[in-house]
This record gives sequence, C-alpha cells and structure tokens, in this order.
Amino acid sequence: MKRKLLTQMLTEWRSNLWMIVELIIVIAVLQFIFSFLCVMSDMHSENRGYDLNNIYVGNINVIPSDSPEYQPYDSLHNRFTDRDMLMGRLRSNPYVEVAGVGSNNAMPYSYNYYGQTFGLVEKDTTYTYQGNQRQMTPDVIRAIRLQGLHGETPEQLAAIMEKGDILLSGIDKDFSDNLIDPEIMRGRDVFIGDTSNVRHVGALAYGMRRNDFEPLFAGVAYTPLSENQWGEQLVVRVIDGAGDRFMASLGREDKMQGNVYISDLRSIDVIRDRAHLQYTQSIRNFVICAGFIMMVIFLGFLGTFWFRTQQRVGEIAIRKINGATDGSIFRRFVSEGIIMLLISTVITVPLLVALLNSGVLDAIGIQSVGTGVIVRGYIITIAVLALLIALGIWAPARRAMNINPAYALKDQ
Amino acid sequence: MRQKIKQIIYDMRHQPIIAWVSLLATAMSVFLIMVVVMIQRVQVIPYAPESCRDRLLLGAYMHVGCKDNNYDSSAGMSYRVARLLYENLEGVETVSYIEPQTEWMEVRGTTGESYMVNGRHVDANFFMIFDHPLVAGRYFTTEESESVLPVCVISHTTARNAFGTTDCIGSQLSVDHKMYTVVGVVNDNTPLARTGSGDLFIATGPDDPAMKSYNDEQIFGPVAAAMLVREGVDFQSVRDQVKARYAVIDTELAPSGRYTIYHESPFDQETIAAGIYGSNSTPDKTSGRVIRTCLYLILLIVPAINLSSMLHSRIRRRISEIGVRRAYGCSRSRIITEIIAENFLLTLAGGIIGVTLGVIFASTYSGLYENMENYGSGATPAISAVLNWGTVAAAITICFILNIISAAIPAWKASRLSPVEAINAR
Repeated sequence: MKRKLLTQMLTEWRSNLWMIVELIIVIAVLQFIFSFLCVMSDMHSENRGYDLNNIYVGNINVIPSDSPEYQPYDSLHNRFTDRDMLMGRLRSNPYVEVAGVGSNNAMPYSYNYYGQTFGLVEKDTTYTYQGNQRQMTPDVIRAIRLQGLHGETPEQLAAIMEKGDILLSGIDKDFSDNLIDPEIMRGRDVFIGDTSNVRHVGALAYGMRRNDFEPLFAGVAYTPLSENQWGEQLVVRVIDGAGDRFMASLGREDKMQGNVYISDLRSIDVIRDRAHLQYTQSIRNFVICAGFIMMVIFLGFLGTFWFRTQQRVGEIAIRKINGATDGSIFRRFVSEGIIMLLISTVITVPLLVALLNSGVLDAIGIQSVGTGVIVRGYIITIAVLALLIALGIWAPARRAMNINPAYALKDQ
Repeated sequence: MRQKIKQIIYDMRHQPIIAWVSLLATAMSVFLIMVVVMIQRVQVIPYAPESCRDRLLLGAYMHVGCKDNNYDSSAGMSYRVARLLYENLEGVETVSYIEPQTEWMEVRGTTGESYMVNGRHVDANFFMIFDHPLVAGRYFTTEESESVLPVCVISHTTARNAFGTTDCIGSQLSVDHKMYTVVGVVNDNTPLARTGSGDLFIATGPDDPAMKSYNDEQIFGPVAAAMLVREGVDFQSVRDQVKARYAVIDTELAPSGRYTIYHESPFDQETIAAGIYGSNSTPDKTSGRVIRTCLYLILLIVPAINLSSMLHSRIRRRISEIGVRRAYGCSRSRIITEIIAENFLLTLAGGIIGVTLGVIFASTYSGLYENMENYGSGATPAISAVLNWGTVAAAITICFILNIISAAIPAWKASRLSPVEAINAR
C-alpha cells in the first residue's frame, strides 16, 4: 500500500515538489524561531541568585544650592544626615522589610558599565579581573536576597560586606587576560585599579545581570558604600504583596528631609519591563512570524488537499467499491502529507548539522545555553508541522471519506 | 475588466474554499509586510517636530581606549568635545547642543501639583532645527542659553497641567526643585521623534552645571550635537570632517597612551532608528536591513508557493476553457497576461484587506513603536505617517511581486497546453 502511495505521489510530483520546497523553507525558519524561543525561555528561567520580587527603587536627590527651596546646613547637619533620617523613616514604614542605598548601577536592568580592574599579585603573576563595580550598603544585599556561590545566605554576605570586604561573582572569560576562575581570589587581598587600593574578597556571589535574557556580562564586584559616599539609588524590599499599600502610605514628608528628596520611586517590575523591551519585542515578532507561517502551512495543505479530493473523486469511489474503509481513505490522505514532511525533514538534517557547527546562532545566545537547544527547536518544529499538516488535511480527508461511490461514478 | 471580475466571482462561488484560502493568505501576507514597512517608515519619514529628518544628523558619544593597559571608557560627550568636533562644519547649516535623550523631570507650577514630564536641556539653535510651533511667548535666545539663564519652553499640556492655562509666559516653574521662567509654550509633540521631542526644554550652554563633564579632562559628558545639513550635502562628507577632527583629541590624549575610537558619528535618521544605545560600538543599520529583507522574502515566498499551488488548481478547473480559447487562436502571451491580470485583481483585493488591517493596526497599537526612550508613553503615529503615497506605492509593489511570484508558473504552464489535450482533459 505504501509503495502504491509513493507511486501515486510521484504522479503529482510537481505539486508535491512545491510543497516540499515550501516545507524546507518553513522548517529552516521555524527551527530558528523555536531555537530562539527556547534560548530565551532557558535564560529567563535560570537561577540568577537574587530575588527582585517586591523590590522598589527610586532616586535620592539633593536640592541644588541655588534653588529657593534650599536650606543651608549648620555644622551638625549635612545631606548625609538628611539622608539617614529619610532612610530611618522609610525603615519604620510598616510595609518595608529592608531598605538600602546603592550607586546608580547597583541594581540589574542598568547598562551602566562602571568597571574596575581587580588584581591579585601572586609570585610573578598578576591575575586580573574586570569587574562591573556595583557599590551598595549591606542592606541592598539583604533586599535583593543575593546568594553566595558556596551557599552563603544573604545575611552572611551582608555581614561580610559590613566588615568592609567585597564580593566577586563568576566571570565572563572574555573580560580577563589570565584569570579563568575567580575562586583563587576568594579570601585574598586584591587591589582595585592600582596597587595602593587593597580590599579583601570576603566571598563569591552570583553576578548581577544587565537583564534576565542574557548571560552575565563581564564580572561583578559588589563593594560596600562607605559612610561618606553618596548613593544615588534607593532600594526597598516591601513585605510580600504590600507594594501598593507601601506606595499609598508614603506622604511628602516620607520622601523629603531637608534638602534630600526621593524621586521616581517605583516597582522594579516597571524598570525590568522597559529594559526587556528589545527582547520582548523580538519574542513578540518571532511569535507573530511563526504564527503566520504556521497558518500559511495549514491553509496551504487545506487548499491543496481540498483540490485533490475534487480531482480524485473517481479514484476514491473505486477504492471504496473495492473494499477500502473510510479510515483507510482518511489515513491515505494524511500519510501523503506526513511523507512530504518526512522527505523535507531528511533534506533539512544536513542544515541542522551545519547550524550546529557554525556560529550563525551565536547572536541569539546559543553558546550560553548549549547547542542542544537547536535540536530541541528542530524537534518542536517537526512536531508542530506534523500537527498542522494533519489538521490541514483533516477536513479534505473527511470529505474524501464521505464520498458516495454510486453518486461519484454515476457517469460511468 | 468587468469580465475578469465576473470570472473571479465565478471562481469564488465554485471553489469557495480555495478562493477564500487564497484571499486570506494574501491578506495576511500583505498585512504583515505592510506593518513592517510602516514601522520602519514611521521611524525615518519626516514629521513634526522632526520635519528635517532628511537633513538631520546626530553627533553622539565618545569612546577612548589605551595602548598600555585595558582602560576603555565610553559615554556621551562633554560640551567642549562636542564643540570641538561639530562646530562650524562645512555643509552644516545649524548645529545645536542638546541632551540626546529626554530625562524624567519633576515639575510644579501654580496649580501646586507635582508630576513627571520628559525634559531636555537644549540650546537656542534647537528650535531652528526642530519644528515646535509656538502657542504663546517665544523661544529662548542664544544669549539666554549661552548665559544659562533659568528659562524654559514647555509644551501645551505641560502648561495646562502646571498652570491651568497656556497664558503662563513669565511664570515660574519648579523643575526638580529649581525655578525656571517660562518664556514660551509650544504645541504638544510626539515622543516617537527621538531627538527632537519633549514636554519641557531647558536653556543650556557650556557653563551649565547640569551639562558638566564627567571627568577633569572634559572629554565625557551628557552632550550630543544635532545638525541640520544643507540641502544636497552628502552626509559622508560631514562624517569625514568629524573623523579628521578626532585627531585633535588624540593629540591631547597621546601623553597618557590613550586614543579615541571613532564609531561613524554623526548618525543619520535610519541609524538613530536602528538604535544608538551603545557608546562603545558602531551602530549597525545593516543588520536591520538584512533582517527586514529576510522577513519580506519569507512573508512573500512562503505564501506565494501556496498561492501558486492554489492558482494551479483553479486553472485546472478551467482547462477546457483555455483549450477552446487556444483553438480559436488566442495567443500564449494573451493567456499568460490574462491569468496574471485576473490573479492580480484577487491579489489586489487581498492586498486592500491587508493594507486596511495594517493601517488600523499600525496607527493604534503603540507597542510597535515602543523603545527605551518612549516606553510607557503609549504614543502612536498620526494616520498620515502610516497611510501616505509611500505606503500605498509599497502596498501596490508588494501585491504585484506576490502576484508575479505566485501566478507566473501556473500561467506559463496553462499557456503551454495543447488545445487538443486541454479540450479532452475534461
């Protein structure tokens, strides 16, 4: 039966050839799209080692001295005392779990790369580590619940920072000449920038990423913000689910003390959505493109097989007279579509192998999640197409099943 | 023509599934292609306040590396560097020193309510490049911006929100707790114009503390240079002059082993639209073009194969008609022309549906135009930006190409039929 089916398919080789060409193009495009979506999904669901739920961030500003609202300071007060009072007020808010201060790149979703060279001199070798320096008070570590690479809790890491020690993350190898693993820096004194500025590395922690869809960029060095350093960013963790109540509870006096005021306080979710825009737009566009292609394939098989049932009325009727069941007619039509898909699949396997061996997909972050994702994308593509082809052929095949041989052959 | 339309209607009645599938696939294909075309066009065609886009260049960023170590620093330009690179360039009509992106600023007027607006520090030349029609008052003068006087120009809506009226010239506006005198009110403008939009424009000059350099050497800062190039001047000639001026900064940096890295600034509108977020990389508009071309090809070829297959099916129903016409002396070229013309009408019908849906979608869904700068604004373009002669021409071209790709082979095959075989085929 299968041989006869192949023979019959050969008689309509032109039409089938076009459908196979179309399927090859579609497999190539869909495979790229599904692989991309798999990469995005894997990256997004990876454990990043910190928790940004219930986090609010804002800017800590100082009224300019030429403003009529500016209040001159006496010898006991300055902007730091104003800030401390403001922070104290925030910490006493019933909805606030913990509040800290950091540099303007202290939180994720900032593309500000303020970098420093962290170096370890050992015998004749100086190991260097290019770190994206993020300065913060230990409370920021508590707020984002940063985890250590050796199982340290946020509280332990915060305690390390309170001692004045720094934390380093794993490293992007492109950013170091000779340091493969920052592990050798753990528990050691390293210099920052030049050899006169030495700090102790208290622990290794997860690196803060620029967004949730890309791997760690360079390395991250968490350094404590000293008492006389101004932090521009306010970081607040509110108790679970109390974000709206926290925002509603803040009056003007909670956001302003002396010459210091908090502006643009909002959930980090808003900042994240903005930072993810290019990724979410790419995902949206690829999904629309895949949806369109899938619809075209569905309609293509529907239209083509609809026409074939019209053309083959006589043949189907004779098959039925000779004992073919409705099910066998139905399966015959669906088998035609699936055979075309199988032929296309076999032809595109070398394409898959070529993709696996090329760097074409590096642009979508394949290297960070492994090439297995391409195989996964390929399997999803074939499975989706098999389903669409079956669905597209379903209506024409049902129509073929219902042909009445007596009526169909009345002219003969 | 009437006969061809009758023929199409006949086809649709007798082969409704195939005809409707063809129409739907065409409409979807044209819809998606047109949305891509419209998104791109909205980013590059001129409209207020960037009516000058054809002649607009934006000089932005400075990138410095070091021969001796891995020092690598990049950011915006200081006022000094911006002037050094972009002042008095040959072929440039006007240059304005501005903040390249708007900032979120807190304002308060006589209504007493504080709220956030998109503000931008600009010099007086800004209003000579970007068209912000005045509702009241005036723009600030060169003297005011050079002296960094606390004056500002605000949009119509900002005036209404801050003062309850547009009659607020001379009033004091608190911007991030600093007082500014309102000297002008301009029409509201769309945040889709990345370089020229804003709700609040604050006068700035070289001595403005808000625009001060990030480092002692006065290399980095928050300044960019918007330039209006004279009619007919080649952008590349302006870039060549700028590139040559980098040598001056290289000479300054040479004693410390550092050097500048040039990234093809100033950028044209297509490059700005493609995104100029990285100060340490050369903006890439080529990959955007490649992606769009691939997208057009996929959106044309995949449905075209199906449409071709379905047209072939429709033609096979008319095989005896073609045979009779051939027997009565109809030429092959006429058969081809008529099939392509008939199919073009159907493609055009699908195209009209696709374009209509595309225009509705492109003019109402703000998510298509969202970027880091206008995020959350919900801005959509005016209908004239998405539906104009350019998009109509693009739509007709797309329909024509789709028609040719899908109809050429079936029409050619139909024309090759032997009249005897064709008549007997039934």
